[in-house]
Amino acid sequence: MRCPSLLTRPLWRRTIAVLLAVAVLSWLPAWWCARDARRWLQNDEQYQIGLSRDVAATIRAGVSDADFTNNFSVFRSEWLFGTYQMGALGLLQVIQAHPEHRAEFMPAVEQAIDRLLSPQVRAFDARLWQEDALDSLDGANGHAAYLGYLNLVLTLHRQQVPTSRFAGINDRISAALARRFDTSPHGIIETYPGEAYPIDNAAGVASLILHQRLTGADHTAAIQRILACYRSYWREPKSGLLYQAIGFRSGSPQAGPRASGTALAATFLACAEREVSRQLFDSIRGQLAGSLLGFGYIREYPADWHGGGDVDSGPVIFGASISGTGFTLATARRFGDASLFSRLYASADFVGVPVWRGDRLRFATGGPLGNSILLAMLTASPAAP
Amino acid sequence: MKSARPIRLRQVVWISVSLILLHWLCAEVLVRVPLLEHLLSPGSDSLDALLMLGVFFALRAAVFLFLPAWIVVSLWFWWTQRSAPIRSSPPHPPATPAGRGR
Repeated sequence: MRCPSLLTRPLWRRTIAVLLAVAVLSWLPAWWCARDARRWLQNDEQYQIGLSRDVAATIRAGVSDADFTNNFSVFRSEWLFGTYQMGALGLLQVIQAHPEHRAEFMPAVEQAIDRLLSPQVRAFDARLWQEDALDSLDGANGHAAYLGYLNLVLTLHRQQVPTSRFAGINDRISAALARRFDTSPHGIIETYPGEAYPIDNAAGVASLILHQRLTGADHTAAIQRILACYRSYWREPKSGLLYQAIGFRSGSPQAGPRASGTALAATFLACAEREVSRQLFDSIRGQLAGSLLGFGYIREYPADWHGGGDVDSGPVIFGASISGTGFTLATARRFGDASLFSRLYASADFVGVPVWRGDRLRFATGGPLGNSILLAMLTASPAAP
Repeated sequence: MKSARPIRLRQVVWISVSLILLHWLCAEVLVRVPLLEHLLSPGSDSLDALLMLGVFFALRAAVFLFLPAWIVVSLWFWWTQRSAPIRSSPPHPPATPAGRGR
């Protein structure tokens, strides 16, 4: 087919070439990378099961802190803990969406919980506190991260397995957390001595809400106290985002508002309640969501706040947060924001590099922790009523 | 003035296929080498891994972001070049009869 002679003139050829390049660049790459977003949103069995199989295989094979790269052993151990916690959380969500795969994945969930309870995995927390979190449940020290994240998985497991062999430890941890929230000077309990983070407390309070709903145990006072803090004191007034750290003794902010903490807190809280998690999600979406050539991202810091990346956020690239972007995938799913989810998924697909190997799906740059986190985020259930 | 080289369809196809294959090969290697930990939380031995990731993402950006636009623009140039009217070549000088004009 011959084109009109007008278009063969140099000026027209070059002008149209530039327009074509801009049109393709601004539409095609993001469309291509987001093409699987709808499948994830619709709980597509092939994708969810494919990634679950890879994560379950990682849990079965086991990971050690030698699989992680940071120079600080406490961070390596936290990532080991996070691999099992996020893996179990993701697999439980998949079992809930596809009960026919329960027999395939529940053993891996229980294996992950066994590892979370093992002395090796909880050693990082014990080292910093100079006491073991499970042996000191009657004590006063917080252990907010270890107990909160663990108890969330234990309670979600118990939801699906009423005769759970972990019911006893679930009850004991819930009672300890409720008592510590009640008696804490400002509501917040410590992750490590002198360090208190709203994000770690979010996992704990979500587990208490679910535990109360499931067993009838009364944690109302502790839950109401902490949710009140999430509505007001722990949020930066202008952006509505959570402060990354709060002073245990002073109750005042110790670090600025950030996406990584707010997004994961919203994700955990949305497992159990809708109101506060929705407020946090709205703040993230309104203050931090951006897009470049159709690729969505979440900035780590709101306007007027500046900072670099760290172990919480990952590298902050031109303001965009890797962790904040990944965690917001889950809240966008939980609150049914398909448009934001698709834009963020385009970025996750581009950076994560999904690769199929037989019936297994793996994000090539993810490693054990990245794939566990992505499973938990990409399969997050709708927010609790 | 230097004239633009004509676009050859075979060249466009070769470059595209080579980049896509190279990208696929690198992704297959990356599946076996977990690198996100280095990206999220670099340690003292992360330099090589970060360099590998940098090269891979440069290649991925080339394949996913720029290759489609380059293909479309190349096809456009190829099509308009192919459709352009063929310029008549300058008249040849009259053939010199052999053995004359020396």
